[in-house]
Amino acid sequence: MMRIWIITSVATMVLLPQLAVAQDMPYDPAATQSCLAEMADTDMENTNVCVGRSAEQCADASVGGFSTRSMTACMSAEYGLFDEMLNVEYAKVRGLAADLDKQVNGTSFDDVSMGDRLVQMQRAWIAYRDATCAYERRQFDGGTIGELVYIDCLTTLTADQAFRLQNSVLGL
Amino acid sequence: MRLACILAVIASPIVAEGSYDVYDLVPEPAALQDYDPDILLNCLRKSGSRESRQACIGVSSGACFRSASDNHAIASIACTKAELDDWDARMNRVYGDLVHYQTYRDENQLAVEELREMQRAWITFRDTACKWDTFTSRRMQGAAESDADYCMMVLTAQQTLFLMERARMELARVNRIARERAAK
Repeated sequence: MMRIWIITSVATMVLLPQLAVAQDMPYDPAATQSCLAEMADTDMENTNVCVGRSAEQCADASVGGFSTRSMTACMSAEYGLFDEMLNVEYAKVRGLAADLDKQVNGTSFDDVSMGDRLVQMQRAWIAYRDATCAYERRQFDGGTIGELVYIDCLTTLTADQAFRLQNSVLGL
Repeated sequence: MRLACILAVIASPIVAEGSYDVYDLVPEPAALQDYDPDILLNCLRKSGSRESRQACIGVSSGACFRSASDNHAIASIACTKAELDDWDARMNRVYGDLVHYQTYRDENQLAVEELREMQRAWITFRDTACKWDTFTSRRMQGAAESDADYCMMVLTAQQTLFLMERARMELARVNRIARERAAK
């Protein structure tokens, strides 16, 4: 049980590159959040179009304007937004899965509990995210573009997974 | 989104030299009569970016079960499976090409190894995620089997589009290296 706890508590932890984030970085999550709220009412399947909205606004408003550097800093803040969302959704789903497992005495239809199924998926997702974003970054041989590609990759995949879990809250 | 524009600008001198595209990927004829792979292929051809190609996912299977005269639940299962097979064939082809290109470019094989590792990790994720979806899906369009295939189709399609983008860039690099080697 301890092992599962450790896995779930570090579910989304990732070592980010040390980014020089300017103190006056004008990141405001409102643009992304209002887009998400609107899509939840109208087009649940395409919420991923909202990912990056606030980061783009932030980069435009940064000192020196839109650049690889400002976009990297702003996208890191956007990553933080979706990482938090993923953690919130994961905790919700874990609770619902545990309730369901109690109702069926710890077993589900094919003897794997929903809690275990969730942990299996999340563990596989972490390996997939790490392998995919490392591979993407390598294509740019590090450098500033590589960092932007990396943080963009993390943000996209984290948002997708948060949406996946959010959808399953409704089905559990 | 804007990042795509930055990358396109950076990549464009390289990309312009490559020709890797969806046209190269003609799938096997589908076993299902109502399934027309050309609908998907035409949609991909008309779409200029990875984002707009995402919107093509499901067009052939959608047309397939709308054209089915009766028993939509059964048609939905068969049509979804047909598009899953279509994407799967595309993905295998693109993945094979990408391994080939990266092997050619990388003398130390590091990128090829990372590519293999990524694809292995993706397969495990796809299987666990679609298993999870089967138990939690709200779609309720048909049997659990159809939900699993729908999830497999979407994830396979997304991975194909990702690999396709990479293959396009790698082919351009390979062409450039080949020209440099020939010039020596």
